[in-house]
Amino acid sequence: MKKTIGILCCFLLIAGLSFTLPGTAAPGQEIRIAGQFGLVYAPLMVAKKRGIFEKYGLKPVWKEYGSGGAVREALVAGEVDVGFMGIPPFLIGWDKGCQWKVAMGFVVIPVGLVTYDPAIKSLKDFKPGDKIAVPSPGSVQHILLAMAAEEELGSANALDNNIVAMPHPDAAAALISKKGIKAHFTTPPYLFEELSQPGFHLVIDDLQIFGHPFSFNVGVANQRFHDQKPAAYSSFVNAIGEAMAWINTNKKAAANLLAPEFKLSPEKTLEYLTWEGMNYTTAPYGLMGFAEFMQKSGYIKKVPRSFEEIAYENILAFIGNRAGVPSEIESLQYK
Amino acid sequence: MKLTRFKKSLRNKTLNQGMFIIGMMILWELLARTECFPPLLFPSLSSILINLATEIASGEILGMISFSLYLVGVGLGFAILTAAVIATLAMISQLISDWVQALMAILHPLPGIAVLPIIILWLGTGPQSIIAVIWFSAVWPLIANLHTGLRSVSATQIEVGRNLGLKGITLVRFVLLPGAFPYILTGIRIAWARAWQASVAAEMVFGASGGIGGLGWFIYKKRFFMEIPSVFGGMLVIILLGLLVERFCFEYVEVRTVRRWGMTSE
Amino acid sequence: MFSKEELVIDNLGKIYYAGEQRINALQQIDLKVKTGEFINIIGPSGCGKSTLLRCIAGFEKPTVGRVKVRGSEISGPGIDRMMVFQDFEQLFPWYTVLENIIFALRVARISIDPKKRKKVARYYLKMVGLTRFEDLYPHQLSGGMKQRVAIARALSVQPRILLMDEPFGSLDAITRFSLQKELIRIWKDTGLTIIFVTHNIEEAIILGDRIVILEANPGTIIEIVENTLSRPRSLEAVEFNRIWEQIHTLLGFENREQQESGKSITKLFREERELSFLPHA
Repeated sequence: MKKTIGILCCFLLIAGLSFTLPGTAAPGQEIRIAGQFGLVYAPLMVAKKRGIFEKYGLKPVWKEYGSGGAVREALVAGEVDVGFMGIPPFLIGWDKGCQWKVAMGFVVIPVGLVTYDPAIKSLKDFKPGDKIAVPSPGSVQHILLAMAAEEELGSANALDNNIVAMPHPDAAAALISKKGIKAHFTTPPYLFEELSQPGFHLVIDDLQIFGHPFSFNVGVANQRFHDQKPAAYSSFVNAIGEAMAWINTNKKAAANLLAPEFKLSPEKTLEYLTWEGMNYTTAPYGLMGFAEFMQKSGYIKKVPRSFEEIAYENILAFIGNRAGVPSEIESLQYK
Repeated sequence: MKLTRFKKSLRNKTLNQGMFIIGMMILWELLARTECFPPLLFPSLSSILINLATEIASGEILGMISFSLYLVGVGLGFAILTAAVIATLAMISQLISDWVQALMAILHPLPGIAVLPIIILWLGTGPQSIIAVIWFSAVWPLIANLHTGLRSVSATQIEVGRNLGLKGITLVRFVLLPGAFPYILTGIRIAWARAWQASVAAEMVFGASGGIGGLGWFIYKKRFFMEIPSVFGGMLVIILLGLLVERFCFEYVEVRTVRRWGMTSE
Repeated sequence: MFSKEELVIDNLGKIYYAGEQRINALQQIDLKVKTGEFINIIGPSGCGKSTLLRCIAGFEKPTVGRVKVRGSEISGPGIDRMMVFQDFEQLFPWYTVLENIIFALRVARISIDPKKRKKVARYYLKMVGLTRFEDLYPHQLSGGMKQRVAIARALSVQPRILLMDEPFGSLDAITRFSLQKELIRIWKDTGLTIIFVTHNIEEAIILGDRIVILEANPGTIIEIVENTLSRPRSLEAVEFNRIWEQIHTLLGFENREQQESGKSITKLFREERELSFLPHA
């Protein structure tokens, strides 16, 4: 009897120790990141390659996922602490009760609807059989298309039956070979690639639809991670910030560093990194603009009453709260 | 006497299975109600059913069911035609039979969904691609069963047919096809299951095929909008439809043909 | 009584090739069968008796020689020569007993009117004593009943010659005995010509007017035994035993040779079965 109690105590001790250990040890804090790849994720790739996370005392654990949907599901399941996604997918999760908030803006990039068909000059020119590829339902591109459809065609759902969900590389290949799809709502580098084809042109772009730049992707952190490991959380935000600052001030070096990853020439990479409109920044844009539209069109049920509901303190501090007329950065959160 | 006992044991089995399923459903509901798991990931059965009811009422899901069934019907129809032609050719010529067997050995293990990327490249993203995947998934089990079925027809019965003056098409129609029917039925059963799975999988991997989309697209879309009860609802519909077709089509036919004729192995 | 020559087999030979090996299944077979005659063919396994029957039926083409029915050479299977097989599976399992016969009538275009067809089918079912079982499916019948239906079906299309390939070979002794009796009755009632293959000496003696004895390697006729025993024939009759001894001696010589060549009966039997599925030489 005594022996069993002794063993039980030992177990409890070990269990207790192992439970408290990670919390107490500040250096080498583990953070599980949903790693993604591509031009959009350049800061993440730079931070990884230049050991910036380690510099901030983080021990990053990378997990790879096939799609944005899978990243979001990994966050919901608690498999990763932080991940990156568009504002609409983030809001859909928030609306459904996911315990997460925006930790940072990530990138502002051009988004555009490309077609090869000279007859298609605006959304009105799409016939029922004309397929428009977007990465997935509920993606930034899908919501932007719905916004544009509401504005030009009178209903957010007007083009729903034209939509096909296809990963970027497949859709780009299909569009360039003019097979199956008529148009592709896409981002760099596919956007640049498609537009460089003869006769391919933009039908509409993000600025025309949204009116001003918005964060194409934001960094999202699980509430539990944020609350239980505040030091790791802020280290992560700062590490990404340093990676972005490095890209923004050393574009040539960044191009050289990333070119082999993208399997592109350094010149091409530099061209992409310095394309008009590309901006790696932790500042968030357009958080509320998407929420209001999505709520109005029935994609989500509620709109955040304040930024507090969808963003952590660093973002709240960033946006600020001007007495009187809202500040510029505050108003840029709306459409 | 024997038959009644058989019927009774059958009833007991059905009762057992029914109780088990109801038990599982209650367990599910209770587990979900405790909220040990986030409701987002593990919705209660009642919320799934309520969701499903509203989706059926809105007509959304019925349109998708009919679209899925339409795709499967067309794909399966083409597959049956192809299989009939190929199996007939293989009956006529040993050379073709060898080719078909080689082709079957190579392509049968390949899941239909695995050829989707190539089919999309060749045929684009329309319904024709999904139909092609369904066709591909269904055609091999059909050919395999038809081929073995035709070859397993009793040589004596064929000779009786020939003795009575049957040859060529009439021999096929009156002796070979009915003789191979147990295999044909099995083949269509497997082909239906595979086709049904392929239609759902194809839409889930590559999104809608245009038009309203089918059940795969329904689940795919609901996944991205994180409407997990609807995802479960879609799964439920797929299960139910599969069961209904099995029960009311295949079993109905089986009882009235193969089992009545004593052509089952049981 | 036997006025005309119903069937003439003229210098018939059949050669198979099993790989490199050349097998003389049948060689120089000459046989004349009169209308209404009951012929038995007997011989050891592998002697080609089934092959001979299949050549007559038209399922197989002889390598040399001719088969003539009432003067004209046959070119393939036909309803004038109906075969009853040993295989219980010869009925179509997807038809009931009655439907099996109706189907034969329909295919052979014996009667056009469906109502009349049903009547005809019932008539032949009555002939084999199976009226009560007309709605059963073949799998619900015993072996003996299946063979009766097969006989009724063959008779229904009114053949001139009934070819029987060991039809009672898989039946138990009692059933076999009663079927033999019925076959004799049917033969007498219909005046059919019957060619009946068997490997059972008693069966041959009970049934046939003449017993054709074959030997194997190559398959040739060694003797045709006249059987003038009056019917109903009794196993106890002295004459019965005399014929039995005669046939047994004729076959026994063959048996000894088989033992010398080290071939078991079952093996030879299997070879015979395989031979009948070989492609035409």
